[in-house]
This record gives sequence, C-alpha cells and structure tokens, in this order.
Amino acid sequence: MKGRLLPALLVLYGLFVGVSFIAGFDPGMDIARNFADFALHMFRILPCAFVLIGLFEVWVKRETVIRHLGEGSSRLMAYVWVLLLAATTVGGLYVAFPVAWTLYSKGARPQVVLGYIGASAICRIPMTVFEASFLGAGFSLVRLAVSLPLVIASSELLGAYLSRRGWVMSRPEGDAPVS
Amino acid sequence: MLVLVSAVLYLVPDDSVYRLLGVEDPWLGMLLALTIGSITLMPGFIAFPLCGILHGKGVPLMVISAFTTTMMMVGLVTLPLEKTYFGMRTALIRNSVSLLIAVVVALATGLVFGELGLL
Repeated sequence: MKGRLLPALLVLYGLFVGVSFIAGFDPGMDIARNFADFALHMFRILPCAFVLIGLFEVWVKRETVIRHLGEGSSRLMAYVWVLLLAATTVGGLYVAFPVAWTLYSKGARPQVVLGYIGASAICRIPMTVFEASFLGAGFSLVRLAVSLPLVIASSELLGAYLSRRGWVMSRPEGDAPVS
Repeated sequence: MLVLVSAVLYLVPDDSVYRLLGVEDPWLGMLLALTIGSITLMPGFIAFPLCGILHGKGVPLMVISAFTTTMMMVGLVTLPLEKTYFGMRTALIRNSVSLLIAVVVALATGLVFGELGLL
C-alpha cells in the first residue's frame, strides 16, 4: 500500500502542476515555482554538504568520535564540540539529519546526537547573523541564551531515556537524504 | 519532501503569515505564531526579512520569536524525513519538547523586552 501510494501521489502532483501551466491555473503555477525555488536552494547546498559529510565519514576515525563524543567522554566537551559543528552547519534539518547519523554511526552518544540536531536548528552562524541584522542582536542573544541550555538539558534527558529503552537510530533506506 | 514544502509554502504564503501574526490580540498572535512556525519550513532568507517587517509594524518580539523558534526547531513538514532516522516515537517527542522550548523562549523574549504586560 505505502509503496504504491507515494509514486501515485507524485504522478498526481506532476499532472496537477503540468495541467496548471497549460490552463494557466495560478495556485498550481505558484506551487511549482515554490518547488523550483526550494529545489534550487537545496541543490546549491546539498552537493557541498554531502561531499563534506562523505569526507567526514572517511577521514574522521571512529575512535576519535568515541573519544570525544561517546560514552565516557567529557559531557561538557562533547557539547562544546557538537555546538561548534552545529554552528558551522549550513542548510536546515535536511542536512543535519545525515550528519547526525554519521556521528551516531561512529559511536556518539544519543544525547550528543540529539544535542547536535537541536543546536544545528538554533545556532547556525550564517542564519543567526542574518536574523540579528533584521531583528537586532539583542533578540538573537536572548533567543540563544534561553534556548541553548534548554536544548542541552532536554537532549540529556531524552537521550538518557532513549538509551535506557535501547533506542537505535536507523540508516534510512538507500541513504537518500530527500525523497 | 520538496513536494510537501512547495505545497505548504503556497498554502501559507507571506501575506497570510503577515496578516495572522499581526493580529491585535498578542495571545492569539502567539498561538498562531507557534502553530504556523511548527508547520512550515521557510528558508531564513524569506522568514527573517518578513519578521523584520512585522516588527516594524509593531508586532511584539515575543510573537516573532515564537514564530522563528518553532520554525527552526519544530518541523511537521520534515517529520517524514526525521522519522526515517529517529523513528516516529522519538521524532514526536523531540518535536514536542522543541515546541515547549519555543514557548519558554518566546516568554523570555517578552520578559527581556518588557512585552509581558501585553498578555
């Protein structure tokens, strides 16, 4: 059922967009334009992001990740490392999840993986600079000062809870980042 | 995912975000901000200029921070993607916790910028 539903929906979507263009149906054309804008944006970022992720997978040894981010590593330092990694992440969650998977598969603790996801949502440097330029540095500072400790605390709690339940992160089918 | 995003961006276009977040009642604005932010995924180069305009029009910063924080941390549109990595249960927990964090951030913003009196 599920295997057939998705292709069917995609075909419907394609037909809808195609017919919209022929018939000059505005909502359909707007949807297609949004699709193109976003796709372009992602295609600019994703290739670089995945080359970097690939290099990370090859160059960074499992032992290194375990030593700094795994069980028995310093909790404080582990968060410092993932914060730095998150701050320099580009793109959105669609880049962060593959990176998180790489960290996890190389032995990072669940707490640290969740911390990375949370941090990459809120403290990417380019995004924050952009935000500050529109809403003021004070706004960004308050937002970071309040959300970062909460993200770290909740990652600790949720990660510990998941570890107890024997949670394993799964590699997505075919490792496709987007579908 | 691209398909979903393109449809959601259409269904929640800039001017309706603009209208909805600009409502008179800050409580309602806050609620709407949290809802819209949780559903949508907007590239920062669209979202922040929009927020800048909203702020210029007098929308409280706490409503804006509710919107941007949920937009960054909570993703209904990316839930299918997140599910493949984390599993549904964990993805739902993470998103719910993020929503709570966004509420706290918004209230803190209100506190710092002296907007809590509006509530």
